[in-house]
Amino acid sequence: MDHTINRHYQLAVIGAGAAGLGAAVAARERGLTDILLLEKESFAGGVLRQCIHSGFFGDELEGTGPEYADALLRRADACGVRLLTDSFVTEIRRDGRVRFIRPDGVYEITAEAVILASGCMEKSAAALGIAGSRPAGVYTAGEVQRLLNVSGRDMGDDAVILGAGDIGLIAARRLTLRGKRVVRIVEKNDCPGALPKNQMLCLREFCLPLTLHSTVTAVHGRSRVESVDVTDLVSGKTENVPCSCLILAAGLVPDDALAVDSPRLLRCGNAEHVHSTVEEIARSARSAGEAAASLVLGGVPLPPPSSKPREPSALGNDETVCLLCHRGCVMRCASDALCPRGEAFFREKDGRRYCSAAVRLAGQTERLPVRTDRPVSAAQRREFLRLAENARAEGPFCVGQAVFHGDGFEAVACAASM
Amino acid sequence: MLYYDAVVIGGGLLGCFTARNLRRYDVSVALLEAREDVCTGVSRANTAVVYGGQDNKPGTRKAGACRRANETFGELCETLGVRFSRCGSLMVCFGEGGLRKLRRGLERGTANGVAGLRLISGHEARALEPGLNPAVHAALYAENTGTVDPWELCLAAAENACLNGAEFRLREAVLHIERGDGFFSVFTEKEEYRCRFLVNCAGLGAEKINAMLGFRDILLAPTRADYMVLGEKHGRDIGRVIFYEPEEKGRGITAVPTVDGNLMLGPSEISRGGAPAFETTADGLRFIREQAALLLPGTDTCDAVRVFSAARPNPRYASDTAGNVRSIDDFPIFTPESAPGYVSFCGIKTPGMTCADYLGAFAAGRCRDLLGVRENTAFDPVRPRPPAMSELRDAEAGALIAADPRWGRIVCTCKQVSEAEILRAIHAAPPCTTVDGVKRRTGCCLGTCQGSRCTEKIVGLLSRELGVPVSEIAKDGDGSWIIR
Repeated sequence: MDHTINRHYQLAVIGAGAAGLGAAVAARERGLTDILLLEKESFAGGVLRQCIHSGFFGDELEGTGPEYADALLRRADACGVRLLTDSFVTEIRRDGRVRFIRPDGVYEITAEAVILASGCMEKSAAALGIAGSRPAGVYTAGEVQRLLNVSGRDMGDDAVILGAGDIGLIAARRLTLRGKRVVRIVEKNDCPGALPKNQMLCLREFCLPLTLHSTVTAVHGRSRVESVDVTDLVSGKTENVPCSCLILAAGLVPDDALAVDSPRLLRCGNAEHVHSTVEEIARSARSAGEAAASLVLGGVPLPPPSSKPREPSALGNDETVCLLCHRGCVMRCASDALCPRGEAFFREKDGRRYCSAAVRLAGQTERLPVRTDRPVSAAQRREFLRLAENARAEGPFCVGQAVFHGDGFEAVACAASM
Repeated sequence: MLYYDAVVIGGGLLGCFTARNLRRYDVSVALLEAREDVCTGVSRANTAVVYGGQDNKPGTRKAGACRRANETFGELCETLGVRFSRCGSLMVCFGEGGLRKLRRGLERGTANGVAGLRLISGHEARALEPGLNPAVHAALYAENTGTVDPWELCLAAAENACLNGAEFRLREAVLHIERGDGFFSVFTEKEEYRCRFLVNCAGLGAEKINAMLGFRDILLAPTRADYMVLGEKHGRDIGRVIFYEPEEKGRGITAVPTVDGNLMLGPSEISRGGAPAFETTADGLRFIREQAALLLPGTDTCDAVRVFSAARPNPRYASDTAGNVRSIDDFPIFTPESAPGYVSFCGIKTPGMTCADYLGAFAAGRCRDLLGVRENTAFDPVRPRPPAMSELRDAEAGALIAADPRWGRIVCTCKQVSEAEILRAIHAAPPCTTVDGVKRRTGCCLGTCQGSRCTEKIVGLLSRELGVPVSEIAKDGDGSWIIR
């Protein structure tokens, strides 16, 4: 047991994902010097580690999730935030006491302010009202991302995906890129809930089969999933769709089991409400970190929790989404762009963009995320994916280091590896 | 060929408690289970209620067994390290017709010798359970009703039976049985088991086992029913088990505040045929939602964490010459004179869990009388409760972690289950080889995320500890691989 841990802190942050890391850094920049960041896993980064697609940060949003996590972690480290991994928080008390379990003991610290950044959970089959049998082969989209992109595991060849939100579409694209068949994407609403850019990059680019105003009502199969019932919510008709796995991407709920009603506790990121982009998470984290600093240093009460659901809208066939910043302007003509870069993006019709994959590490099951170092054409993307599938990367790698190269591009590591 | 004094067929609640009770005497015991784990059939899914005995017709075996079993249930759970909540129950009604039913229940219970029964007004019922529909007219309060986790109970009995020397033989489906002079030969694919005493606890398969010995008097008409488990924020919606049966035809539901802190609703109207056993149906789940809305209007059934379906081995007598089918409203315990040494527990249903130990003791008593054996002085009925990080105080938890850091590695984040708890489950006797086996023993995957965050880790631990590739780790039974 490390006896230097049990003491009083200015701020305790629970969860070292995008929100927790961001909040800790923001609080540090606003003058807090004594910050403890607690992470239940053995590594920081949260779900960023499994989000290996581009679109997180950078001049052209080329950065992937693992790179974003790496950059945030470096900032937190540089400014002296104390990170404890393998630290599972069991209880937050109203008075700022935080109890947690680590492989070397049970700890209880106190803090002037506590930020809960524990992320969110994916809805289970029962929560979605799905009947039928309960065989192996039902996964959540996040679970699939982790298995494919980090652990290097496989879960079946023919998938039905429930939910056309961002996570469902991004999972569908990844499955397709890995040679799996997306049998059907089933969405209960009249249009996909995903951001327009993900509708363009996943649905349109990969011609994924989307079934609207429908839902999965039952799972069939004894040992493994053999088929699912897809019911049209308008006509009431049910169709039996054979598949080998069902992937649930139909809703996220804040993981706020630890939340207590306390003037010292603030939630941020997806633990407060579910956000669409990492940009929104960063904003939520920043304001939480700043509010915590104001509370500790100036006695300013914490603001109430906020919630702001986004209205989904369908991307028209004649519309293009600018991929160069988080605004994601939807354009029918060049003048729809809000900036000259967007205008240029619209005019450049060759569709160059970044592409990412998870490659095998020699002698290991785990995979290493890589991406192209520049926007590449469709032909180059195919080459990149072929090379990535056959690569056996010999580590160690640091972020940004070249892993392999193709015709006119290099594939660079998005995470450090042994 | 293997020789045992007694063989038990089936590793459900009845089988495990029978094996445990047989070991109170100086007899060698083998339990044969067709599946890869115990507690995988009828016992895996039920209403989780420990009944008081007021529901059964006076004079039946059920009535006597249930009352007596209920009286000692607390002691049994204490001995086996199993959580038991004697929370009491309310049987509610919405009108005069229902009140007549409650009065009959009170009379039945009194005739059965059940203590702690009382008819209360709707007002009193709501004072006890503020979540009840204001239209509730009256209720029959029963202070002895309780609830228990059926998995925990079954596995505790299995572990204690193993600890006392009963041999659990898994993946041993019985193919046929031969009768010799004073012995039975039970054949599985791998082995012949010869025994002098044979107990049929095969659940849904019990009719077939009887038939292997030529007994075809009791048939099973299996039915299924759906249940819904709501998240922990609803665990305190009610404090007692609530039974509701409508005045007219049809069924109501039972609401149970489980020992895990969830609210369980069900069973749905039992359907015959139709969906395969253990599959839930949209109609069944809708029925539960409707009934719950009637009974507990403030409870939001959208917060379901799990739905499941139970199979029930409903017994009936083989049709008589006129073709009439008579169903059986009692425990049809069958001890044929033509086959001394055989006990059939074919067709044991509600209150089978309540009476499992009682029935096991009954079988063991017959074995003792038949074989003339002495008591097993080495029998230790106590099975200490395995430590759980979610239940321990800081000092106890700290001591465990200091001895082994794996107690401080939390794998299941919803239910706070540590790696050490999972390892204990994997290496316990009877052994556990599947993810659902780990779930039944440790409570992993029972929270809101339903294992989406920890299943991969559990598969990894099973793979490492059992020395097999991850692709061979099953969720529940052969072929149900999870990742590869």
